[in-house]
Amino acid sequence: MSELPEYDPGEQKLILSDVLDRVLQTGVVISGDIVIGIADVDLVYCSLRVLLSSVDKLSDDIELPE
Amino acid sequence: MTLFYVYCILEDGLEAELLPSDIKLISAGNLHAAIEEVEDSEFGETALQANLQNLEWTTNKIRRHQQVIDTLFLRTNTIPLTFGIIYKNQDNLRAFLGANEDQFQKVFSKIRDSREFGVKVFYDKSKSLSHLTRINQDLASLKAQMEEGSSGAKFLLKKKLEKLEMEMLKGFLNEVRSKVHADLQKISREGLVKENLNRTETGKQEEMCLNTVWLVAQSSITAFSDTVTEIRERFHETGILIEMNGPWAPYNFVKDE
Repeated sequence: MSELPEYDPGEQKLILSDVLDRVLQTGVVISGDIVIGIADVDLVYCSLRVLLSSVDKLSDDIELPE
Repeated sequence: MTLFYVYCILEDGLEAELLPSDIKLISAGNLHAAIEEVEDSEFGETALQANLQNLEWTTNKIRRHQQVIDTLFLRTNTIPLTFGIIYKNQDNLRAFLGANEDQFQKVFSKIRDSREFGVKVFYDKSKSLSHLTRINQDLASLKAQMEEGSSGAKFLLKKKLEKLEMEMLKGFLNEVRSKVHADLQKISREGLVKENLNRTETGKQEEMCLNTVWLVAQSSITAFSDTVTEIRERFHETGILIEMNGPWAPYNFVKDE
């Protein structure tokens, strides 16, 4: 029988916040025909961060680098 | 109407079977944009504004963005774009790539054959203080004096002790920070110190005292990870916790200077 790895919600949460940081706050910004305004990105970022600090659920099905 | 959501720019034109499902390449010169055809009804200006209010939708798209990039960067050098860049037609995108080829080539020369890693340092205040009390005579004797002193003296000694503890802790943490930073810098191409996250954001008991990202040549990854292990062992039992994650695409190292 294969061993079930220990589940650590704290760890997952931290890494999901790493994903948000990278996808929303870094990467090259190029001038597409449609872009999300900086204010909107910041709003999404803040909302998700708040959600992240209060809910573990979001991180359950996310696949991430170790 | 079909729109083109752009995930990243690739250095090599990968064969279709190496691309994640629904991803295509739009190429101009030596640059290849990894795109997905999306619908105006979901990603057009109006729809997008509305969808962004929906955190579930947004979370799924952020996850998709990361997954596509994380598949591709293992196959060729990849410049990640930030979330939510959309073109209305392929010609505009090709024109953009053509006009900025030099700029992108400059970024490729910086990130070529490398990976990004995150290294975070945390400390457990009471464990670090116990460690400092063990190794520092002044701190140990002040603590002993306080425990034996009369209640009046105790109050003053306690204040004095707290002040000394904070000074020692600050010195110790800065020493750890410098050590971690210097050791990792030696084996990385580049590094960035990011803002520390608070405990609500990390969900951890320990406080973060250093938050870094590193661009590491593929040939140095083993050395990098060995160094992290070595530092972790050195500070074992001093209340210091070191976490490393990655490999990531070089998200933090592709912005224009």
